[in-house]
Amino acid sequence: MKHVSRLMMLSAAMLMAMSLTACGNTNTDDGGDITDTIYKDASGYSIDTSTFESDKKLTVYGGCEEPYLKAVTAAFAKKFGVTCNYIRLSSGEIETKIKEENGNPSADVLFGGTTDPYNALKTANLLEKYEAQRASHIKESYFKDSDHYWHGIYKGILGFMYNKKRVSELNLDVPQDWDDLIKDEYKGKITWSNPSTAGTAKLVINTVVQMKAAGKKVGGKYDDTAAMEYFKKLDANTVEYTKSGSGASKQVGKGECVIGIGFLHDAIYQMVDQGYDQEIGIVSPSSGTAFEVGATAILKGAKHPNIAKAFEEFALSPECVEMGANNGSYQFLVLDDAKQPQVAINAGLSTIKTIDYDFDDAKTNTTNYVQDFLKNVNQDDRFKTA
Amino acid sequence: MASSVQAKSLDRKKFFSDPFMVFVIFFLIIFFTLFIVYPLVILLKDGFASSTESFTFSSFAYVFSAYSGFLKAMENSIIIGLAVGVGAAILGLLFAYVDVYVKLKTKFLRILFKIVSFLPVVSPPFVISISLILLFGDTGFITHDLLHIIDAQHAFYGFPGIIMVEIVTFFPVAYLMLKGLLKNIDPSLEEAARDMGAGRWKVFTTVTLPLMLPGIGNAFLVTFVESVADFANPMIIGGSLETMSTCIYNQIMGSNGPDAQYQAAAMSCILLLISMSIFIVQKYALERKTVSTLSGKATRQRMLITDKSVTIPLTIICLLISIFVISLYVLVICCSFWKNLVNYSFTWKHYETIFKDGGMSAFGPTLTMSAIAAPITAIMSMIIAYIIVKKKFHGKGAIEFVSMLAMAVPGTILGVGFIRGYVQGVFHTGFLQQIYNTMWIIIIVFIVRSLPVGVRSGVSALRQIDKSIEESAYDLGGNSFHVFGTVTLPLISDSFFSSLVTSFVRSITAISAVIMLVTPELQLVTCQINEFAGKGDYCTATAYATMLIIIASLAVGIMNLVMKLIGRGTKLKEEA
Repeated sequence: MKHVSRLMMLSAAMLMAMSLTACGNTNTDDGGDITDTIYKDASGYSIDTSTFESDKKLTVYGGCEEPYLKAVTAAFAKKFGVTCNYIRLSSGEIETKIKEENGNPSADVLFGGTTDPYNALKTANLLEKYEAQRASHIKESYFKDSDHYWHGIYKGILGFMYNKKRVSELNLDVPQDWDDLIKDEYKGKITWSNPSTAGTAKLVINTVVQMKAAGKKVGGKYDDTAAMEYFKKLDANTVEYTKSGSGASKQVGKGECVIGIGFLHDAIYQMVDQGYDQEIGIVSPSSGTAFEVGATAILKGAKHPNIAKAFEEFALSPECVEMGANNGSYQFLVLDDAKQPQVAINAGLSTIKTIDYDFDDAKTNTTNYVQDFLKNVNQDDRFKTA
Repeated sequence: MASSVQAKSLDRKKFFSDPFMVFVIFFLIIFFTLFIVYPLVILLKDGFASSTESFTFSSFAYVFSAYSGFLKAMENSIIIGLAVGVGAAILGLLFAYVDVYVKLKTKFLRILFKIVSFLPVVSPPFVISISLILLFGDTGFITHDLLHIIDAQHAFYGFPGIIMVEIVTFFPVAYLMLKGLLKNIDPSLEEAARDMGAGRWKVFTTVTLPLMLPGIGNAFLVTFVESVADFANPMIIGGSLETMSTCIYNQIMGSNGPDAQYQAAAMSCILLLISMSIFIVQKYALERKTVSTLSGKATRQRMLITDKSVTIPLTIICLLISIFVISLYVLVICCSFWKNLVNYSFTWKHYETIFKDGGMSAFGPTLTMSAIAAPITAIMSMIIAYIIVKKKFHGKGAIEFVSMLAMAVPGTILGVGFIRGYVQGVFHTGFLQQIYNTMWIIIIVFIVRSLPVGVRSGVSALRQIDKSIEESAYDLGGNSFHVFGTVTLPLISDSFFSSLVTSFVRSITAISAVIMLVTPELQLVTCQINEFAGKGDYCTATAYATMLIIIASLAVGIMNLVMKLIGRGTKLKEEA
């Protein structure tokens, strides 16, 4: 008995020693700059703060990088005198988590991340429709949902990245265009992502399919025969299909990846924020490339719908989106009154040729192309899932 | 006939006359049903469902189609699991044997071995993978800089990398289990064999090894299942190679259409089936051979082996392994002070990131929740082990089976099971919905995840205690509570503390099961590590990891110290 009670005491003592106070990623207000209940922003939106839910709280699921997310929620909390929490999720997690929560979300809004999960959640009826006042500043129709379920805030551009030292060590030329990547000299040198897990790879497939098809459609989708021939050859040169879309950018600085395909802002992040500016070079394909759109939306079943609306307006203001470049997110912006990130322009992203990407086709046919891709390429060890 | 009926009714009477035991079993059944069986039932239900049908085999059909690639992943997992299970059991046995049997030249060596075997336990995921890539990757110090292999094309990624990292990560589990067992072997048995002229090797193979066999089987099983369920290491060092766990994780995390969740559930069912089969094989093939050493605990101190032909080779082998493992951790610590992975100039930058940006806020909840989970887990494991080994009643097999189940399930799956099961309450009734999004659900996952290791170690220890010791206590009028507390628990206190420590460090280093359960208010350090590793900021990730390792080691150190004090207390009493 004595022995047991000693154990208990020990456990209790350990508990006490360990129970430090817990606090999350909370940004609390400091009073704020609101005097009237109607807040009018310089960028042209107005918010009636008297409609705010009484606990003055907002929780954000973020699909963008954490520093950006943190800065945005902190700025929003300060501006409107609310408590703003966030949690960062990958694009797959966003969809999974919100589907799991099935209308009883622990967050109110979604901020950042590619539109794929947004579209999936819209289809699953898990987003709340909202016509933002600031939506007029999004010019191109593909940067916002036609039914107002989500709005675009930035675009990420697809391209190549390479490790300068490794390329010269291996006596390689720097690839300039999509067709260079399938040359024999790059055998075992190329890293990109697995389309069954990474949205980035799906975008690569869609882009090549659309470019190679040159507008030719068969049975409601682009003719992907030429594209699949291309991917067979690219597969022969591919040394790794990473699980995450930014896998190549993470390896290229160290040199584990010699040449990578992925989003250029991911490579710029590694150059600027991780200090690999001497190691990494970036290329935007000479014949053209595509881009993804990052979005924001209100969740169905949000506990704070009115604060969420204020957040959406804020999210679509230059004040908010321009914070990206100061916090390691170097995507191009889609609002017509926002300044593009200077560091991205400096890194050589000013002259990018983009293709006229067919977003509608991508929405309906991506699964088909990915299946075709896996059928053609799925012959060895590098692919296990679909 | 009549007498057996009478015996049965007597047994039943005896069972129910022990209210403490009845209460405990009742509690365990409720706990297991709610937190292990129920989340898995939800998954099983999902495995046989799709987005359009409530009962269908389509998810399984998909999983077994060549297209899903799951069969290949299964093959990979089994190869890796076997290699890791065998490797970790051998390495664990080696370290345990040297620790318990061999006289080491210096105290320093003994401490070194202990640190080495404990470091992997206190380290969070990813960490060793990062070190191994730094050493053996395409631009690794050894492969690229030393051996001048400039075009490795990811040769180390995949099987070699995963197997190596998992052996290093999981062998301490085997070591801790086997050490407890070896300590309990009565030296007289081996000495008797020696006295009759048997050589050391003969004694080891004919006396020690048979006594150890169930324990080695357990060690193999535990590491095999851990390996199969591990996803953090294959994610980073696996290259393109998929294992069942990464396959399931990717199926859930990637956006793969409306049926992806159901297919993932079907995959988890298969993984579960494999783990269970291994468990059953082990249980029935090995346990029949169980030998109980008569006296319970070793009656006296063992004469340590001093024979140079034994000590020198064993010492050298262990020393080499030790140096290798330690270098992996030194590399982790170095990495946290590097500017990045190519610029090795010193910087505090990554630690500043942690302290400055409120990164510290993840440490509070992590430690609090782990500290709550650890004692609960340890006490529960010992009780469960006790029931499994010493009690007879209907449904005992079920309790044993269920307590092992949680480990066979990859953490991610358990996490999803918990979300699915509790976001709207049990079976969507709202019952227990309150625990969702609180620390309690995470604490429960911690407990459920650590229980199997604790139970295993408890069972192994208890098997070596002869029934007669407790029976005498019963005969003198003690009830279960008394006997357990005053006789059994002191005899297995090593095992108790090892599960207390193991549970604590497993919890603070846990990731897969809880990554889906964290909320903005409730962040965990491992999730932060994942976050930073996820964006390629390995230096900040290793800085977090270094701090976690220090905290975990401190906790273990404190607990070991207290353990020693208690041990001394007991000894003193015995002498008096």
